[in-house]
Amino acid sequence: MSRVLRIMLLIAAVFSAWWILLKIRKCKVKMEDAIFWVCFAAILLIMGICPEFTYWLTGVFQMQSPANLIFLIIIFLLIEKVFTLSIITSQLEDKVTVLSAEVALRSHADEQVSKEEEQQIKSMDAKSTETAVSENDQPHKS
Amino acid sequence: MSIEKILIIIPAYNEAENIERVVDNLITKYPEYDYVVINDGSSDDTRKICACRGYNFLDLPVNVGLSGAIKAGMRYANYYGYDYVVQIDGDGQHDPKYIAAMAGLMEEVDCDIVIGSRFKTEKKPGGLRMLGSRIISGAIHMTTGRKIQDVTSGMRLFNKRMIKRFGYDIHYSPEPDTLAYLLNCGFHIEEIQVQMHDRTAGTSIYKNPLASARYMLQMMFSIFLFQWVRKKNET
Repeated sequence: MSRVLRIMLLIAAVFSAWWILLKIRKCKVKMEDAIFWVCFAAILLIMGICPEFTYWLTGVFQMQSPANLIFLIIIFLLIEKVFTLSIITSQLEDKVTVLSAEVALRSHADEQVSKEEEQQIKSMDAKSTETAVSENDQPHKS
Repeated sequence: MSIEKILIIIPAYNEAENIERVVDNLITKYPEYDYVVINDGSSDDTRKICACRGYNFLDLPVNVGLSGAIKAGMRYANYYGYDYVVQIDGDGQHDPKYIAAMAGLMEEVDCDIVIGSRFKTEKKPGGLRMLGSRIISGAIHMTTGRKIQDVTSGMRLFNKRMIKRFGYDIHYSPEPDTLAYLLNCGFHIEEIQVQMHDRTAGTSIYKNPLASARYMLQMMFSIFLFQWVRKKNET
């Protein structure tokens, strides 16, 4: 493993860990969503610090060079993340659909209720004016 | 402490078999407390039962989880100016008779959270569920120096300061990691011994081993790592 690759791994590990922890501090991300990135950073860190471990793993997977293995691991982790994010996005889309339908339904129901109330008030008003008019129309009995 | 200012929030997700019993018990035996049921987008008849029976309830249109339901309840409490909030489960595990004692303790020692604990004076039994509880309890002890026996108890009393935080902060979930963080911020948390009933209907989410493992992982990360990078909003 070249020294440059190891330094790049270390920089990537430190940067991703620092970035996600900063987001937690600023309340921009939920803590459970940060676990993946902390693990991701830890894997990069281990591979950068212990090249012996990376060489051993390269042998286990019968690959040509540790660089290939590192790329493979990173691609695998990112594909997994994209996959889970895709699932979460479609669930969220469904939730937004349900949410907008429910909001529309409930505001419609509220409008119906207020219309009925308005009509009731109007009919009561009409009745009271009718009775007032009929009382006025009656001739005075002297 | 004036009991008019206490709000009981009852998060309910698919609790059609239990909710009637729980709320009716509350209304008939403890009319002095205000309550609100948070129907967390249930797919069963929970909403229908609440509406037909005329319960005071917030009807969340989609399922947002316990944390989101509690957040809705806390915002309700803040909106209507309640000073104290008690969280009890919608499955009837928690007996409201302990609320008076919890409120008394909060007033007496001026603490921020009182936990209705199964293991304050009684011994914690063995078993896998309790193993999880022991590990979390140990983690909290290691990071805060304080021992909380029943970390997963869902029966908790919060004061006004906590209502604001739980209602408006992204990281405040009704889980043990928040307790660890609060202890390190200098807040005061007490426990009081209570008896809990077994669930009479429905199933608990902790029966699923994968969900339990995920929960434990989250708690460990949060207690050992994330709480140290969070801003410390001290009292």
